[in-house]
Amino acid sequence: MELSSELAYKWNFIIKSIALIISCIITPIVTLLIYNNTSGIPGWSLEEFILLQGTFIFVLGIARLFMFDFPSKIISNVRRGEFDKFLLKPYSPLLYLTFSSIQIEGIAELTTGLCLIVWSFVKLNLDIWSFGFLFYLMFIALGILFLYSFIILISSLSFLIVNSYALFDLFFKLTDLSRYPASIYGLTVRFFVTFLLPLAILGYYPAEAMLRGANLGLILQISIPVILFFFITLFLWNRAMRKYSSAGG
Amino acid sequence: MINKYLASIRMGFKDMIVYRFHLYMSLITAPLSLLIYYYLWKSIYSYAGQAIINGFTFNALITYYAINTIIGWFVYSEVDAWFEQNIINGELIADLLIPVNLFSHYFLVHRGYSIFGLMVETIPFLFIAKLVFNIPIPGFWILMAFILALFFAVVLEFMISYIVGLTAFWLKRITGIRKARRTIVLFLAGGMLPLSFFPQWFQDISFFLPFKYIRDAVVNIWLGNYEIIGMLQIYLLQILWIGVLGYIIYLMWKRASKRFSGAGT
Repeated sequence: MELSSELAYKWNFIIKSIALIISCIITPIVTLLIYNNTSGIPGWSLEEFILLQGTFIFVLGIARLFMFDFPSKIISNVRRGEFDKFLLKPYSPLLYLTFSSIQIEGIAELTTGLCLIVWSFVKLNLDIWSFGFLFYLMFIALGILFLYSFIILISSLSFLIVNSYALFDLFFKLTDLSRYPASIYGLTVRFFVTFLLPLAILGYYPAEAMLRGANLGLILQISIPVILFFFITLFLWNRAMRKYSSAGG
Repeated sequence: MINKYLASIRMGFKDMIVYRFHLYMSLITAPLSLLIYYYLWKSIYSYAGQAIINGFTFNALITYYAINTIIGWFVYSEVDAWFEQNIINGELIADLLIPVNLFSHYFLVHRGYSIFGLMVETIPFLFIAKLVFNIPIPGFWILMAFILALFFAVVLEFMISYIVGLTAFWLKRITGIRKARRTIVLFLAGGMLPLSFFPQWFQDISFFLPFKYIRDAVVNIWLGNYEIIGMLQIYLLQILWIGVLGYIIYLMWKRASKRFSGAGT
């Protein structure tokens, strides 16, 4: 349904896709310019860094395609007082909203990310029949789970805060932390993006696992914060739901 | 006479009071961005082992990003979105009935935003940037030269966004072009990386394009990288481009209004 309403303005849709691809390409161009003018980021060659950025853009693309529409849907429905219709559905509102929200623009990011990943895999001659690749996929899955938790968090807060769109801005700015290797940050920030708000899972850790391998200790150390974060947000969502339905009665 | 113009500015100012939460939020996000750039470039500078890269010391580069953020707040324009909404909803008529002409009205509403942003965003952010990142604040005359260039930059970006807005008369939905405009202008203006990091041929072309005079050249005035002659050259090119874009707007508006009133009858 959302696709057909987009296609009603065909030219707008085409230009919008081109615009998104351009804005995706600009990021690696900036990287290229940085690497042309300097020796780059310590410990990361251009190809390795592009792998990190490509992974990040890819994960963000998946999130945009399937999840980013979800909080705005809640916000607008709560404001119009129409949220109750989701509670009347025979399945949980969280699942219903998850599967009914699609933002088609995500495809542009997803494709750009994939191209960058493939390019760096070929350039670096990486083997996809390796444990590294297995961990790479696993970390990407964790990254998607993390973004999903984040979306649930924003959505839950939108029941409590009126200005929840501003939280979106903050969220996007925070993901900027995952655009660069966590190794460049100071110890405090590094601790923050690994354990407190595991943003480094969106690019740094998958790339690190692919390039330099991973061991069980590292995997546990990275996946536990992500999974914990998911359960905390799920708990918050349930609280928000209870609060909402009681306010309605 | 002057009162009706003030009314437009006041309108923008009041709009911002409603959205002030967003502006407070940028007092968290803007220093955060700067912090990320700080770490990124610190590691790059120490790895390169150079004190100066492409004419920028580390401190100058961080200043570049900080001042860029401020310029971004001033040149911010959503006039293209207004055109899109007003044309689709048919509410443009109401704005055309205002005793101020449409361009001035929309421009002044945006300046209402600027005034509010100056108090709530720019001045507190400058304090943070000065205290935490040790951003240099230039002397009086350089500051005046910067403000003048910033004013022209504001007009330039507003005109570009106005032109994009006018295309809505023909294309109706312009979300795509609007998004493209934002990113492309930001990139070409040096909002992501100083233009001195770009290849020479690109720098040569940018000299003749309007984009450089929206951000890169303006920040470099703050950094004291221009002599008097260089500044005059920037002003001249800014004014030249304002003339060119103004003429394009005039031509587009003539055609658009004919089309619009034609649809009304």
